[in-house]
Amino acid sequence: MTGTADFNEVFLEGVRVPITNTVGKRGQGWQVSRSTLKHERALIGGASINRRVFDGVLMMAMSTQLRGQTAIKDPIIRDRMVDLEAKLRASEYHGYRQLTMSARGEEQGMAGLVSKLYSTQLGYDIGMLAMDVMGDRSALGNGEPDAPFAGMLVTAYMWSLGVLIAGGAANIQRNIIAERGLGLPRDAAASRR
Amino acid sequence: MNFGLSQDQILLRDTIHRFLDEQCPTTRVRQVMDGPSGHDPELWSGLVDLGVTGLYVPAEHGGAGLELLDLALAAEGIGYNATPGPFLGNALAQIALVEGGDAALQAQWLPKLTDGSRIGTFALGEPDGQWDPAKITTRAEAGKLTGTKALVPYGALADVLIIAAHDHDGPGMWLVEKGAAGLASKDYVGNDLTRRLSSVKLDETPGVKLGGVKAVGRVRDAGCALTAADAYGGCRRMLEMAAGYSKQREQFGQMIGAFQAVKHQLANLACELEPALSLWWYAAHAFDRIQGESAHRAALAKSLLTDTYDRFARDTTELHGGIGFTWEFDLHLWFRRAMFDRGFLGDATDHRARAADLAGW
Repeated sequence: MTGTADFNEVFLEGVRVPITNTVGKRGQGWQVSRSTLKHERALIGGASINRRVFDGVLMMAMSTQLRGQTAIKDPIIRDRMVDLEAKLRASEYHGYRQLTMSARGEEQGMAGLVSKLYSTQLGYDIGMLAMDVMGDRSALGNGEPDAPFAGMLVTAYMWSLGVLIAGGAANIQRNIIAERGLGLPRDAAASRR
Repeated sequence: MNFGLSQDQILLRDTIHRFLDEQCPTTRVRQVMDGPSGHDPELWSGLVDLGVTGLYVPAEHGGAGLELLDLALAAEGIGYNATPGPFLGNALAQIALVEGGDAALQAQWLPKLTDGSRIGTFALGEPDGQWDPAKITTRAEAGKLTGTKALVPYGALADVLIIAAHDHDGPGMWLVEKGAAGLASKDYVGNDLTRRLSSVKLDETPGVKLGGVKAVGRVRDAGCALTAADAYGGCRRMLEMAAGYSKQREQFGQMIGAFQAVKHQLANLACELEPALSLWWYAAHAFDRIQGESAHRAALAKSLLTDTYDRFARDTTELHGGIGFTWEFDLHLWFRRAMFDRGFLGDATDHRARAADLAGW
């Protein structure tokens, strides 16, 4: 929906693949996929993309007029900006903590389970703040010269929904956190299968 | 990269937790909070024996000579157990002496605030909600203080009060002893039943100066990190209680923890809390080792963790249903502690405004 094709469908019809191309062993496909997913989630769960977008929003807030003053001087924008800075720092330091746990060979447990959900929610909040810094001009799209930063950060806002879904949607993450992290029962429908 | 606790710190944290689990069950918390002073000398002397009251105090004054991060681990345990008593104020008085006191003053007071023979506290805020040392109105002239301090932890109990005030050099701190002329302290009706807050009036009250504006700021930063750690401990306890209850309580033929609405609400809490841990760790570490970042990170940690505590109070009470709103059930001990943590040293909005200024925004 952003106008770029970052996700796609792949159609396979009678494709022949040599047996040597099998990733992992036969019958272990799910484990392999899970391992790939874990890495995808870890990547999305990192703080670096959010930091880049946040710094962009900050630059925009320091150079865009909103309700008669520079956006960053608006008390509400300013307050939200710091709130998200705190969460972003938490996310960055959480990454340091995870790295340290890995280096020490410790199980990450809950620390590993939450990072994707935390990061993607934060990404959405940062994107939404970008929209509020633009104010009414958030109606203008990426590439429109009359929009602050030519509407570039609108894409970040829209894209934040993409990563909220990619790698296991937020509600899947909540199930995983609840079941594996907090020891709550599996969903009834899932456990009947 | 080494962003984790040392073996010694893990041992310290676990030892304090174990002690408080055994010595400070909520039955005891309730006895203390119903008492006249909100202080339990026996529990306090247990904490003294364990070394909790001397963690940040240099070894030459009877302490362990550790850092704020170590002290913050104790604050986490105190918060987790809703431990009543003057831990926070006493620790801040010690930090004030370490940061601003001269050798004689340190030698006179630090050993006493460590061995439990005297209790200290720290008074910064004022009745108009001002916590900015540059804007407070209490005045010091020729060693005599006049003004009113608000939200002073155990101000009526404390033997030694570190008072933030102004003199001709700007903001600073003064040490005032209980019983000094013109000193009048009175406990408020507070929300947190486990920790007392007092108003402290000073009228030409004699005090000894210990440090200027930099030292006051340091004590406030330390207080923010400790409050954030306390909030984290409380959040962790509330989450454990809510998750535990959701595995016991049955409704519509199954445990409520099997309902996805409940699972997701709990998962959201766990998700909010886990990274916030690293923020107060960092704030405490910055206080110890990266002083240029200390004030900013302390403000971030205080605002985020106390906001999180409010959110936990709300959601875990809701998750418990009716019982969560009763006097008999313990959850409100933490609900009320959250209200102490949010107000003490200034609320989250204050600290966010300050962090924005500090960042040069």
